[in-house]
Amino acid sequence: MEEFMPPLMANSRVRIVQNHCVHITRKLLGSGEITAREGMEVAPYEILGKSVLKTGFSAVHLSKLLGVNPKDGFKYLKKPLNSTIYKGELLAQSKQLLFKKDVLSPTDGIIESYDSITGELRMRFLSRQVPLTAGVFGIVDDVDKRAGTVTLKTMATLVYGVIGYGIQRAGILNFISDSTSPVQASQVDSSMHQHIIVAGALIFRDALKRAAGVGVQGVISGGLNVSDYKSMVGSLVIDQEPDNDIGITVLATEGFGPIPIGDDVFERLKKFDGKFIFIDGNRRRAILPSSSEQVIEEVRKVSLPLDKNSPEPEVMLSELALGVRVRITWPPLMGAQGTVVGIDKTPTQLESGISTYLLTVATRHRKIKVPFPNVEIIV
Amino acid sequence: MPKLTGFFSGFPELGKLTVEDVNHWLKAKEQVFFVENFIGNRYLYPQTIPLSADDLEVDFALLREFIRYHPEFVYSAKNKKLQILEELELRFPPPQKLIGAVLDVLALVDQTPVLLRKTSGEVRLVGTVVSFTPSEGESFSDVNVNGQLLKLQSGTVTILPNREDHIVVQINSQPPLSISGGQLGVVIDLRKAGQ
Repeated sequence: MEEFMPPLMANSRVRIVQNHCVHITRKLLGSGEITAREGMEVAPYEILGKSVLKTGFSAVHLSKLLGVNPKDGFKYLKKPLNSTIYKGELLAQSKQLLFKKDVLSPTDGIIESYDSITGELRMRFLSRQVPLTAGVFGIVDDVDKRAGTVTLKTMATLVYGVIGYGIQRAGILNFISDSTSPVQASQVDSSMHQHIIVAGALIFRDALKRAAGVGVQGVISGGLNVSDYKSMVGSLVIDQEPDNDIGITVLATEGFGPIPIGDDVFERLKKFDGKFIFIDGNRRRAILPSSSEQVIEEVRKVSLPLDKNSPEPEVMLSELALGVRVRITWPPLMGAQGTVVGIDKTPTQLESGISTYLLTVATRHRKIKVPFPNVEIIV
Repeated sequence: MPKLTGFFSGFPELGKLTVEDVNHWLKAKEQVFFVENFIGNRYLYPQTIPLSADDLEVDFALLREFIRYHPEFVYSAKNKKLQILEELELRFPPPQKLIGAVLDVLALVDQTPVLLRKTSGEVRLVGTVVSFTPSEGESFSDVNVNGQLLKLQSGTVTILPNREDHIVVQINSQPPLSISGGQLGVVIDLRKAGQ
């Protein structure tokens, strides 16, 4: 008579949700004006508003360049204070007996002030207007002119990770590594400004700092070191509030330490390489908007409450069976994915001394035996 | 439907443990990154089990810290008994090592029965811990177990397999103790109190 074997259960976790109606938020950079209105149907290139960016100051050592005494430098300005000047335009000129010295404006700006003690001229860069585009096909569900935000309802694929921190941000998706390699600081450069980068199995602390420094909006990796995570958020156990933020948004898809990004997530992200996406660390997800105009029609049919605390999918208990797709959640081969092709009928004692039932999991390259508590079912 | 959890799901202080808290218990000290990420993944995936003996050693270190925070999980101060859940025994084998880990944290005195609570609800006596602190300078203690004389080193824990219900144990010239054996046996703890 066969010995009774209990059904083997495992946690099942939603990793990818296709064609889901979701809210995304577009926000002005700095001050500006929102021109969108509720109910408006938009395409990705449509403008929702304009930011006015004041971008800083420049100092020109005018007296030195003119070869004159600092207290005299002001006399040689060709334009008065508070006037606008453009790059290359004649800013000041000194005429001596045999020669003259021209100083050209190094930038577009406003001549703000002159210091007669140091001989320095201060120029304020011209404000520039930055349009806020929709980035998606969708419908404007909410406008907050005071906060400078527009909430759009759109259809997207949601990709969930297991660790995340930071507010919703947007940017062009940029792969800087394959799914298995860790990323060093030298691989991050200023060309990634405003991008969301995919950083392989792990992003080191220096690389994360550099990414924040060059204006990377978000980072997706397979894993994060606990020390780097704690240096951002303070503790391993945190309350996932929607507004937690440190200036960059991070999302790890698999766990702590160097773990390759799972095949399912990596292949899905690859389809959006070079495209405009969103990342929300506090909800542990990336939002990959649909690029089809049909989105507007679908979104019209859906009423989505403006709930800022919409819960992420729960981890549920499911029965393991042949043919089920799983991911391995403990070393060795943590992060690997495959299909269950065998379930042992009798327990095996592991090297650790623990007895358990083993599964045979067929990954892309081989078949492996895995203790059943060490897998999660991929939904 | 509830999700699969593991022993460490019931350890809220897990996230606060430091590398030193863990390495303190390990003979071969692990690298900082390894321990931190190990704890982090235990927190994320508490239902997983260690394949390797090395990983189990780290889990035993975490278990000791758990007992340090929650001694009531294994010891009833009111009844002066150790009670081990069967799930704990299966998760942290072998039983002798599990008792050793418990004794690393708890300072017991005199005799302490060890009970195993099976998942069926049955409670079974599996042995007794006899705790004795040898005098200063005494390197060895004479231990008499049902007439069998043993010389055990001070500062050690020795587990003697013995399934008998009635066992008489005498240490040095102390009064004899009447105790019970079982699946675990008799545990002679000759360490200093609090060691």
